[in-house]
Amino acid sequence: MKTGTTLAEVVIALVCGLLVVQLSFAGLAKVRSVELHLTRRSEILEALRVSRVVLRRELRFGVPGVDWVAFVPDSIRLRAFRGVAFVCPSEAGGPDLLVAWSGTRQPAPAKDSVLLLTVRGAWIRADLSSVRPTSERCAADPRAEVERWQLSDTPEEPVVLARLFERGSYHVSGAALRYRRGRGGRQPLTPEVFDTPPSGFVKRGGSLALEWIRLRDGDGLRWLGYLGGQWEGQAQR
Amino acid sequence: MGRAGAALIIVVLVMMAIAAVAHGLLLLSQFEYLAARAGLDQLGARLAAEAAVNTAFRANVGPGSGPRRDSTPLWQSADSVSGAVLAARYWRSTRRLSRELWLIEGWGKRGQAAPAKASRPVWILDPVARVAAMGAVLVHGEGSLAGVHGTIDGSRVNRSTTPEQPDFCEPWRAALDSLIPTGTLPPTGTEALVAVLALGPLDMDSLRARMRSHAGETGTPAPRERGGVCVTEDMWNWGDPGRPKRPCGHHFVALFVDGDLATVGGTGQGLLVVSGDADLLDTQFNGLIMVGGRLTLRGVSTVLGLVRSAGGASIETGASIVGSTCWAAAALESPDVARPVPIRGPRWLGPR
Repeated sequence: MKTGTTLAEVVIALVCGLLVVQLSFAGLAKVRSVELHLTRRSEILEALRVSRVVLRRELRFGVPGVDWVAFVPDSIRLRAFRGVAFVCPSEAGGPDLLVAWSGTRQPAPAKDSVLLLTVRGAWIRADLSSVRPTSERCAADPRAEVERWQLSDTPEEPVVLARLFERGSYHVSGAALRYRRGRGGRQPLTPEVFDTPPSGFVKRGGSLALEWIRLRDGDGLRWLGYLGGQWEGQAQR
Repeated sequence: MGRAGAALIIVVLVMMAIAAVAHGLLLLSQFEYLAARAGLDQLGARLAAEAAVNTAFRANVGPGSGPRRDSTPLWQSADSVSGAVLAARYWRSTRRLSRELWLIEGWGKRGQAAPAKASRPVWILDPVARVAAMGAVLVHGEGSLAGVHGTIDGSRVNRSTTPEQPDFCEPWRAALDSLIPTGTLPPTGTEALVAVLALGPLDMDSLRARMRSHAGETGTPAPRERGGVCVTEDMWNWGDPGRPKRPCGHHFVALFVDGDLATVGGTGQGLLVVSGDADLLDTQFNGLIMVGGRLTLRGVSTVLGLVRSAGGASIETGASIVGSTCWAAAALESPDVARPVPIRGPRWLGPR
C-alpha cells in the first residue's frame, strides 16, 4: 500500500513540477523575446532620432546648393557650421580680427574656414590661419572674452560677423548614418540597424528627406523625414 | 521532499529572471517616453525661438526708431520682447552689429528642455547713414541729363534754415556732423540707375511692396483735417510742413506712386517714390523724393531735402532744391521702410 501510494505521489509531483517549470521557462522565453524585440525597436528609434536631430540641425544653418549639396541617395556634402563670432568694430578691416566667439567647439585653424559678413551685407569666405588667446578687450563690450583670429586674406571691406565651419559629409552606408570630416574616415553616428540600400536620401519637390528602411527580422519599417529644402531661398521684401 | 523543493527553487529563480527582464522592459519604455518628450520640448523650444525672430519682420516691429535706434551702441541690444506661443515661452532682442546691420536673436523654452536659440542677421535702414551715403543734393542716373535753370543749394545741408530747423533734427545733429563734417553736398551727382532707385537693399519693387501705393494722378497735396484729427488715409494729405502744432504737423507721407505724378500747388512732407515721371508745379515739399523717370520742378516749386531721379531732372527758373539732410532723414523715419530686411544667405545663424 505504502509503496504504491508513494510512486503515484512521486509521479504526480514530478508531472506537476515539470509543468510548472516548463511554464516558467516558456514565460521567460517569451519575455526575453519581447525584450529583444523592444531593444531592437529602441535602437531603431534612437537611430531615427539621432539622424533627424543631427541632420536637421546641420542643414538648418546652411543654404541649399551653396552650403550643402545632396548626392542622392547616399551622401550630403556640407559646410558644417560650428560657431559664430562677433568682430570687434575697431578692428574689422584687416586680416587680424579681434572676435568674441561662441560655438560648439574651439576653432581649429588646420581644418576650419570662415564666412564673413561685411558691412554691406555680403558674405565672403576666408581660411583661418591662426587663433590666439589675448588679454585685449573690445571697446564695444569690455566684459566680453575675446580672441585674435588671423585670416588667410584681408577682406575688401570691414566685416562685422564671422561664421566658422569645417567641411564634412554625411553618408548612409554600412547600415547606419556616418559622418566624415574632411578626408577622414566615416564614423558611425547611429546603431547599425538599417538596410543600406535601400535606405538613403531622397528628394521630394525641392526638399531633401531621409528615408530609413528595415526589412530584416520581419520588421517592415519605413520612415521618411524632412531635413531641409529650397523654401529657405524665398524672397522676403 | 527534495524534488518538490527543487521545483520550487527553479520556479522562484525563473520568476526572478522574468521580473528582472520585465523591469528592464519597464525602464526601456520609460526611457523612450522621456526621450520622445524631451525631443518634443526641444522642437517646441526651437520653433518658439524661430517664431520670436520672425515676429520682428512684421510691420512696425524693430529696434525702435529715431534717436532711440540711432543711440544703440554697437554689440548692444534693443527691442526686448517676450511672449508665449503654444506651450512655450520666447524672448527676442535685436543686437546692433554696424550702423545698418543688426542681429535678431530669439530664445525659446518649453518644459524641462534647455532653451533653444535662433538668430538671423538683418539690414535695418538707418536714416542718418542713408542720407550721409547720398553723394549730392540731386542725384540722377548715369547718362541722364540734369537741366538746372533754377537753384540747387547744398551749402548748408546739416543746418538749413528755410524754414527754421525743426526740433526733431537736434538728436541727429551730432551724427550728421560727423558723417558729413563739411556740412556741404555738391548740387548734382550721378550714380548707376539701380543705385539711384534703391535705399540699400530696398529696390523699387521692395519699396512698392512695403509702402502705400497709388496709381499715378494729378492733384494738389494739402493737409486734411477732420474734427481736429489729421486724415492720414487721404492720398493727397502729405502733412503740414512748417506747422508742427497743427494736427497734420507731424504727419509724414510715405507714398509710392505707380506711374506718373503731377502736382499743382500745395505742400507736403515725407518720402515720395514715383516709378514714372514727376512734375511739380508751384509745390513745396520737404523730405526725400525718388523718381524712376524724370523730375520736373516748375513755377516756384521748392524741395527742402534731397532728391534722386533716375531719368534726370529739369529745374526750371524760379524752382529750387535746398539741400537738407535733416528733412531727408525725417522722411526715412517711416515705419514702412524701417522694417528689417533679411540678409541674403542662411535663414539661421549658428550654432551659438
